[in-house]
Amino acid sequence: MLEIRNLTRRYGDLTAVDDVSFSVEPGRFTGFVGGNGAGKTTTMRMIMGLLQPNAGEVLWDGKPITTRVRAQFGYMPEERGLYPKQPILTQLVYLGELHGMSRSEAREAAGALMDRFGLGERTKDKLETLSLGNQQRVQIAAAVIAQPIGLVLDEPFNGLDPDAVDEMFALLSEFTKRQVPVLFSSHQLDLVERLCDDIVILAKGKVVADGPVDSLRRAGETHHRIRTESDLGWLRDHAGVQVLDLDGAEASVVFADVAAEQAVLAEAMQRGPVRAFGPTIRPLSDIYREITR
Amino acid sequence: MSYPAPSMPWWIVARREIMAKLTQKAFWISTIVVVVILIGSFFFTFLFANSQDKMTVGVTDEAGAQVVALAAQSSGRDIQSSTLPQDEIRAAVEDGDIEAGLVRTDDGWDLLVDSIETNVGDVQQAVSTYMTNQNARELGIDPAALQKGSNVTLQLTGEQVEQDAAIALVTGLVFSVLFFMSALTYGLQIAQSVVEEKESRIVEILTAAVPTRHLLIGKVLGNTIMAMGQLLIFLTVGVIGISLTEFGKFLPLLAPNIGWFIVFFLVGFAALSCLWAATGAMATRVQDLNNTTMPLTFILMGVYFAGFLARGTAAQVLSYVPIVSSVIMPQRLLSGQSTWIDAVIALVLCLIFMGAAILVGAQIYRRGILKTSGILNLKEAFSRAG
Repeated sequence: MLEIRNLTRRYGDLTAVDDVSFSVEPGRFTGFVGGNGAGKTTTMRMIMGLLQPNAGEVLWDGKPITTRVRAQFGYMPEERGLYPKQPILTQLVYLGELHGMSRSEAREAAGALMDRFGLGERTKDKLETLSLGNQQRVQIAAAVIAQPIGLVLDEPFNGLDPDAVDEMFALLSEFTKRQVPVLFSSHQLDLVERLCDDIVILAKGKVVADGPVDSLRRAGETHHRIRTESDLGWLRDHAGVQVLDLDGAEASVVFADVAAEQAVLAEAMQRGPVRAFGPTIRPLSDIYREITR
Repeated sequence: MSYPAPSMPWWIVARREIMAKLTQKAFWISTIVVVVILIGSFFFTFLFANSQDKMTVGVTDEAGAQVVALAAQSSGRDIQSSTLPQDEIRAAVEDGDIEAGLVRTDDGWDLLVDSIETNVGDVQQAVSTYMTNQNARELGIDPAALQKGSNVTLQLTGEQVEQDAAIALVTGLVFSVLFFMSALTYGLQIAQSVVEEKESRIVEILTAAVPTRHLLIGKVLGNTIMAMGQLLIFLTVGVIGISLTEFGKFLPLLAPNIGWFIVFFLVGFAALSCLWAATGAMATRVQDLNNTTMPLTFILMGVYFAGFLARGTAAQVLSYVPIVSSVIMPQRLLSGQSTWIDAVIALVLCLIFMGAAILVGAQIYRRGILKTSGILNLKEAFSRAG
């Protein structure tokens, strides 16, 4: 397990990362969400040992993380990094070797990844001749080539089309199945909502929310949607009900408690057929906006 | 499953540097161009030297032929005479059939050449000697008696520049130039490759996987191997070229010392490379390189000039100073002013310097890596909070 404890990083007067703590559980996708300048990249760089924190620490399996452990991580930097003017295979093999693979192991693994991404024919091409989407695939391949024990990916899905996102997600899922913790940052909330198990929301350098996506979505006040076949105007006068939206036979409400909820349901059924009654799942983007406001 | 830490990450880095060079067209073109220039210059020196040594002088009679024979004998050059009718000599010189024409006139001789640069000093000298001898005989004087006491021997005062020292000076010059050129071209390339890795941000992946120190050592090692390879190719061509010229006789003298030149070149180059890599890490973009590499370029110029300007005590002191020693110590060894003990001391100092340079370089490198705008200054590079 990867634990981030009280990490703080200052640039002059600006505190880019302020007492950030969260953990990335084995075998789970943890989405790291936040606006520009929220401190995501700075946090990831500190996890990878590229930046010294002013305070706090990073733990791996309960112990302070070592250079050796970090060397076994797969990392994808924010500003993509590979040699633009070198053949794809050469650089993947190089990175594999630096991660301790033998030349032949690295060659085999790189070839297999490229075949999988449909780039098997282009292994001798220079990186810069590939489309941006394909360069991105190579970049992800570089992060996973040496069977990492942890993955830290800064905006890995940026610039990928939906098919490619699914393809990459399938690849990364193979790692979570083997209990590898995966931390990735993203601006695309719908994607994070769909792919992640856990989520950490960062705003102005601070963690404002963190936990499993499902429980986050249920956090705060729950909205209920009711649809019947007659006018629901009577809801306004019902005790323990706050009406958010009312449109004839459809309404969006917040109940004060379970008793109010059950009372409304009983009355609605008495008045006629009830077509729908239940909590609304709010999109993550709503919650995000609410939290980071 | 994961893999063990690589046992020699620096070698993986060095190998990539070498492969990247070998697959670069520019590298092969520059190597071939220098070899061609070397071969060409030797070829022309050879041709020029031969054409200057060989000369045919047109004469009209036996006396002229004797003068030419005398000139050939005293100068050791291959000067031939060719007897022609007097009215054809001028035309033959103008047409270039013969290099010069020697014609007797009423009050002396005319020496005909079509260019002031034709080397006819030996012939002029021979005319004078021939005529003096002849006049002496006509006057009944022994030519030897006439010349008596006119012999001048040039005596040099002060510290004598022996032949070895002269050769040391020339080789020193050649090596200064070679060192300067390689250090500058390779140095800039090292700095550039560091900046490029920073610009492409691959450096983040690399430093997360491998200690910075290894990256730096690998880069320096790879480039040093390539520079040495190139140097050895140039030296081989150079030695073969020299052996074909009249300087070939000095080669046996150089042979035992050329080893020192190579050893010092190697160590000096490697030490300097560490600094180049560090200067590369201080810049963010290739365009910024000019600013960060300037101080090093100045140091190199200093080394270059010290290489053939330093004399006496200054030279002795400088011969121990790392990097400068690479240029001066081999010269002093060749001229016998320093012994192998001095050489070993200088080498050890240079190695210590190298170790320090790698540590300092790695520090700057680490600090410089995440600096993505502007130029890292030295204060930032070494301040505690990084």
